[in-house]
Parts: sequence; C-alpha cells; structure tokens
Amino acid sequence: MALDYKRIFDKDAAIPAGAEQRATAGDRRDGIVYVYGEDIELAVNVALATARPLLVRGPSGSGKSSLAQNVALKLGWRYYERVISSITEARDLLWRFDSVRQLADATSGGAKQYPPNRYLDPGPLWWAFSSETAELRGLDEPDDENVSRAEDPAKGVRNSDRAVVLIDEIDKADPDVPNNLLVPIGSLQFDIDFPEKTIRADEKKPPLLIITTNEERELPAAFVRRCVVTVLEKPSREKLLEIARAHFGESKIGLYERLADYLLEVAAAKEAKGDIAPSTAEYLDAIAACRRLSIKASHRKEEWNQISRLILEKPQLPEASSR
Amino acid sequence: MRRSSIFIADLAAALDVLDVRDRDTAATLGVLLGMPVEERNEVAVEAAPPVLDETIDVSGELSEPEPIIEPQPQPSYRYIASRVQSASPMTEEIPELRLQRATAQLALESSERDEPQLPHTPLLRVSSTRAILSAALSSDVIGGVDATRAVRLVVRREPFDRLPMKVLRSVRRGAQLLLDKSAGMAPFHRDQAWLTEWIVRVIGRQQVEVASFTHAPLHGLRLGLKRRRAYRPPPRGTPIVLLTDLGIADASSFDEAARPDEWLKFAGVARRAGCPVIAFVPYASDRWPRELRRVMTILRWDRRLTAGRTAKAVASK
Repeated sequence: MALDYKRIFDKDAAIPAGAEQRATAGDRRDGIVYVYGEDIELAVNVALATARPLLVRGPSGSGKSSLAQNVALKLGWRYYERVISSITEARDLLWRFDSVRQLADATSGGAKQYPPNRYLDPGPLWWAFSSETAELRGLDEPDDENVSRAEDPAKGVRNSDRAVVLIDEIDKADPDVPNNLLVPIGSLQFDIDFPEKTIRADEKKPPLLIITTNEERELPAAFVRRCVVTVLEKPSREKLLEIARAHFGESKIGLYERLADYLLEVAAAKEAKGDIAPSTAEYLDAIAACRRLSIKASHRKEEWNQISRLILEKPQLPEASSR
Repeated sequence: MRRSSIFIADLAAALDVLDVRDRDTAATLGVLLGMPVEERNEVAVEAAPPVLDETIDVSGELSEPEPIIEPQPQPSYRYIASRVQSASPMTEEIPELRLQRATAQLALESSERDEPQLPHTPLLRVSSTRAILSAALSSDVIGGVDATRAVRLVVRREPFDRLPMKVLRSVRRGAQLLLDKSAGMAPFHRDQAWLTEWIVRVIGRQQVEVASFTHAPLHGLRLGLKRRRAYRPPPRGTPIVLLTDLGIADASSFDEAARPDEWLKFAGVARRAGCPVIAFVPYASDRWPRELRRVMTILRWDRRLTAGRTAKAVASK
C-alpha cells in the first residue's frame, strides 16, 4: 500500500536535462539510475522535513552511496561528497588549512604576504552550508586583488541555492570523528579561525546531509540520535531484476534472472560461512561483464562458474580470511 | 539553531510538513526518527481498567468477541506525539552485521556453550567502554603539517630542515587481540567475548586480528577452532591487547602457570617489533607481577577503570 503524505522529494521525478550518464568504469557514482522503495523515499522526505541528516545503513553494495547523488539530481540541488578514510579528521569536512602553500609563499624571497584566510580551503559542509562565505574563504568582502576566491566544486553543475552532501563510510573514521561532528550536523553550524567566525546554514534552506555506514565500527549514540536512520536491506530476487532492468533495459531478462539466482546462491553460501556476501554492485558488474563478453544465459555451467568466481565469490586467501 | 538529539519537535515538524494522514506512514515515520509507536489496539488494552471480566463463559464454548470500535479520526501527528516512547532503537545495530566472526568463534569455544546463559554484568561500565578502548588502543600517527609551529618558526626567521608535523592519537593501526584461555581465565570467558565485541565495534572488524592462547602467547596461537600457528607480532606500531590474568590465578591454583619470565620474553618480542602491549587484567594491581609493570601497560579490568586512568597509564609507557 502506498504511503500517504505530501512529498517534498518525489522518487519518480524526472532527472533534469543535461545530467549525462558517465562511463560505467568502476563504481557507478553518477546517480542517474536508482531504484527506490517507498521506505527510502519516506526517509529522504523525513530528513528534508526535519533538516536532520539521513544516516543510511546497510550491507556493502546495496546502493547507500549512489542514493545521495540521485536525490541531488532529482531535487536539482548542488552536490558535494567526501569519502571518509582512517586518516580523515572531522575538520576536513569543514575546512582545511593549506599550511604548505602558506609556508611556500612565506619562504619564497620577495613574495607578497597574504592574509591567512587565503589558505583556507572550504570543505563540503562549508560549501553546502554557505557557498557565499566559502567562496570568499570567510571574508565579508573580496580582498583587494580578488585572489582569495575559492572555486565551488559544484558550480556550473547545478546552480541551486541548496545542496546535498554525501559523507560516505563514516564508520571508517577514527572513533572521535563522529563526536567532533555533533555540532555541524546537529546545529548546521561551525566555527572557522581565520577570521574567527561562525558559519551557519540558512535555516530556511538547509542542506540535506546523507551519511552512510557499513557498520565496520559502531557509531556513538549521540551521533546516531541526531540522525534520521534508515536501513537498506539486502535486495530480493525481484528487486535485483528491477534494478537490472533500470540499468540495462528489458532486453536480456534471461541473463538477469540467471545471474540473480547465482548471486543469491553465492550470497547464502558466503553468509553461512560468515563472509561478506556479494550484493547489488557485484550483480551489476556481472551483468555488465556478461553483456560485454557476449556470455548468454544459455552458456555452459563451467563458464558461469568462472564468472561467479571472478565477480561474485571473490575468494579470500586462507591467511586473510582468518583475520 | 542550536539543536541536540532528535526529539518531539522533529516528529511534529515531519508530520506537519509532510502532511501525514494515515497510520502506516506515521508509524514508519516514527521508526525513522527513533520514536516507535504502539499499535492502537494495544493502547486500548493498556488504558482499560483492570476489572474482573464477569462475562467469561465457563461452559467451554467460545463467547462472541466484542465488536471492535474504530477510534475516532484525529490529526495523526497528535496521536503519534502522545505515544512517543523514551526507548530509542536507533542505537541498535543491524542484526546480521552485529556479531563478528571472532566473537562467534569465541562463544563456540566457551565451555559454557551448552549451559543456559545467566545474566552478565560486564567488568567495565558500558557508558565509558568506548572511551576506555579509544584511549587504550590509540597510538601516535603523523597527522600532517603542524601549521602553528611551522609558521611560528618562519615568523621568528628560525631555520628548520624538516617540516614540523602534528602527532595525533588514532586507532587506525588496528590491534592484535590475544585471549588467554588458560584455566585461570575460565571465569572470564564471557567477559572476554563481551570486550572482544566492543573492541571490534570501536576499531573495526577489518582492523582486529583475534587469536587465543593458553599459558602464554609464545607457546602458540589458536585461530578459530582448529588452526594453530606460532606467534608472530603484528605490523610495527600496532597495539597488542591481552585479555589475561598474566598467570596470577594459575599461580595459586594450577601447576602450569605462565611465569613472569615467559611474559617478559613475550614483552621483549613485542618491543623489538615496535608494538606496545596493553593487558586487561581482572585482578587487583597489588597482585600484578612487579617485573611486568615496566614492560607493558597493565589496566585493571574492573568498573573503576576510567578513560582518564587508561590514557594516563598508556602515556606513562
């Protein structure tokens, strides 16, 4: 039964003209194609209605990261992303200070001394909260030579006064990082040092923050409590087929079905062993490989086994799997 | 716009902005915001006074059920708001992602696996476990140029031949976690499983190598149920975490106690590999072998352990 509410975000909205599909090498991050369930659409709408971050949980390859890009496309908002790693600090999402460039300027003979704000590089949250102050690196007006202007990474892509930010794989960060983001994600504001100033999002036009986690590390309760939380479940056979049709069209249904059955079989075996199971991303890779290499649903079992081993099973070395 | 956790105003705003009119949508929305709502018929049961039902038919025949009275329509957001519960499910993890393989193996190995599980009170306070483990398992890593120091040097026109770098405390190196399965640690197997799960939660499942040993690690490690191998230290700088009694209990009860000199030998291997050793020991500090205090960080594994004490103990080594 369809959920009954007034949608701010409509999953069936058309992608605006001009958003072009990129080449599909590697992970697909263009966000052109996304198959929504009603629950995900509602989660996005609740996050928009409450101006709270949307924390998206779920297994690897289930479409957590590509959700943000697709939402931005359909809303026509600017889009920023930052993939978190073990060396990411919370401040990297706000701003970075390019001390190496400042040192180079300061130590090169005869070079003009610039004010420190020139070396502030706005991060994705700054651009999303207040692109005007980010462009001027925190100054109220452009400096004399207009040399301090920063370039908006989303400028020209979509000229909207609102933004979607993807903070991808927050669980990869050191445990302190989510705690250090409580104020920026909860109150949509943060402080900068050069000049001392508080950067705030426009209350009437707050950005949509989408944060993903693979649950590698547990997130602090205080962080989770500030978020709208949704879980992307493992896709069913029907959902896999729907996704395949959305990405590749209706012409190879037999192939999609056979690969979906293979995927679910391999996934069940992997899960029984406690290994990470293949998901939608591997399924799409397998379809792309089969289409490109003209491997059909009618091929022999040996060929399917090889495809399965290469793309779906991905066996670990014995030593690695013991970790 | 200072805001902390999601609370009732968020729920009211969502219900209002999205103009939610049906119960299913409202209930789903409540779950998304960590405020699950009860079914309406349960509400009715809760609200009913606890009176004796005099209409019970003792003849064995089923009586006609009471007609179900549909509740009167009302703005759904008021209904939801009135049913907000204090318990939040949002801190719950996804069940299938929750239990780590290492913990599962540990549970299987436990001699208690066929016995009913009694309530378990952890040795550490749950509220501070994350902070304690962050403090215990963090090590120094280079975090980029220390701009403040560098600029100060430049301003003073002091020469420097290398850029001053920031040193950060981080858990990014992961950990090697060694579980003592000697007889003396048998009363603490569930505590080991509990703390193992926490360590995995805090520093990540891919970052933790879990193995067990009896006696002392240099006697060999057990990986899972069947595999064994000789001890090898982890990559340089990776903390080695011991959940052990350092032979304290064995020394008084069993013949084959790990002697302090064996632990000293192990500490020497770790030191040469450049790996700090942190031991969680469930015994009072006056029973810790004196000679081991110099070569490893020993933490008293009980409810008096705090993040501050942990950080101080780690920093003193």
